[in-house]
Amino acid sequence: MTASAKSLSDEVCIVGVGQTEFNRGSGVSNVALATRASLLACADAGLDPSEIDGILPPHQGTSACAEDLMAALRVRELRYTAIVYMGGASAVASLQTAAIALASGLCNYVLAVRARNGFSERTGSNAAHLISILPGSHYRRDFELPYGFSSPVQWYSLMARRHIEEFGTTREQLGHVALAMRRHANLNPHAQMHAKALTMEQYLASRPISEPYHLLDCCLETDGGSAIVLTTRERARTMRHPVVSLAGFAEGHSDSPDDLVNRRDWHSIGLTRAAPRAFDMAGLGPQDMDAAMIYDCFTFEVLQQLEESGFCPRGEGGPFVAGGNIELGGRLPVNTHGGLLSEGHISGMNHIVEAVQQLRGHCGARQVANARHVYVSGWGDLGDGSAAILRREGA
Amino acid sequence: MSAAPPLPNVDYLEHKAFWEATRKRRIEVQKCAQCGSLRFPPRPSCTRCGAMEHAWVEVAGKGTLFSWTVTHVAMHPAFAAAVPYAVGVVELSGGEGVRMLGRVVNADPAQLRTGMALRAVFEPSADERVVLVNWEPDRDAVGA
Repeated sequence: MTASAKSLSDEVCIVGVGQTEFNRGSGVSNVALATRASLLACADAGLDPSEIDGILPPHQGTSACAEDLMAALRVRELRYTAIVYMGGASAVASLQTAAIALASGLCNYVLAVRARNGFSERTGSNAAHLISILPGSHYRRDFELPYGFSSPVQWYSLMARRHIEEFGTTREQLGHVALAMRRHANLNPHAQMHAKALTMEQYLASRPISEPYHLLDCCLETDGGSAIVLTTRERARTMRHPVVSLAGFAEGHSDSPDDLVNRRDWHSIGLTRAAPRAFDMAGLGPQDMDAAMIYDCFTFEVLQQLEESGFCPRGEGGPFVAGGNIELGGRLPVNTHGGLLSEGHISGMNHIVEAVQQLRGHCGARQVANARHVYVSGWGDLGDGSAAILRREGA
Repeated sequence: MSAAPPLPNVDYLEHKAFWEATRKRRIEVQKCAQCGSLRFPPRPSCTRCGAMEHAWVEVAGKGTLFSWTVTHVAMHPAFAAAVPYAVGVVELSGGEGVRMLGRVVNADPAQLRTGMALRAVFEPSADERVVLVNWEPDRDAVGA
């Protein structure tokens, strides 16, 4: 923790959130999805969209760019734009970028958005395209793809397998992650899987993709968009919602950041470094969190991020998730919206939106009673990590 | 019709020496000229001491299985006929902890275990221009 980082705690707030419908077949363009989510976030904030003067657009090159959004929102004066390029860790890492832009006085209102036809225009099976947009793309091309190894489900399955072998983690324990996310989605009318129940028998019977991962260990593919609007604390206090501030935030990268295989401490990830810095900035610890929104691209990544964030010791994530801790009513409700596994894959921006809604007390049947602090994590590429602690003012 | 297998760019300068060695059925990694540590994948400077000077040295084509995945859904069309197949992380014997990724062949995926002894199998492309390194159970290894 540097001295100046701590001074950013609680200086910046999320004042607007907006999400399109999440489905498989939006029938509109990526730019339209981003525009709709952005307009909804501005409306939620009670802000004229033309007042936005900072834009953090999606990191996926196929989605809307800052210029698209500037035109669509009739932004008068765009003072700052940046793409945070950390794969699935980008949405949470962009909170840090927004905080710097706002606390420095560079901008008054920053919009961060993720939107994509992730089902209708899915690129996951296009190995060459995926590799070209990743860190270490030469390494991917020369030492991974020729061996039939080119997809996140394969990368992370290596990590899951080693955890299983070393700590005795079981498929049933991973299944408890999938089931908890689904039960939460069943309480969330916005979730793609709202109406679909899931049993452990169904989970265990799902077809293998890249073992130990089976189909129901994998996140959804979603058409949709999520956006947030941020501003300074002084402005936030004059706006319409309970004030939700960024109490702490950090990004982190492990050693060997572009290569999972030769990481010296195999289980370490970016979050191993980011989480303690974020907690330190907030002056809080894992035990102070009322809920956690964990980037759940696959079931095991939830377990690993809970461990590396300090919610349980390394190696004990299996028993932790199987013991009911992560369910609503448990010690640490995780992904009360259903997450990427059962609400929808909006690159984790939907996790930030859910954290804000919990802190505002707007979550209805899935509300965590008197939520004051919510942890949000991001996970991307070869283990990049980001963490944030959101606080309800007065908590 | 099956898709052409994706091959490494053996002329890419950072990786070129590795593929020149595999064409001679040798596995070579970088050894730092300053601190002597081995490293892989190839990088322009030492990940321990930062020095750029290095040599390429041969390591034994033997190792142990550190982790693996068994892929049932091909992520690239060239592998559609190969599923299910295993891809493993191999910790090289005498490699100071250096690990390599490759296909684990000639083994029942259900029999794979952490720590099992493996040896390199060189897999040349049809024109011999590119030689990949796969791994198979080393049945001669002590304790295998």
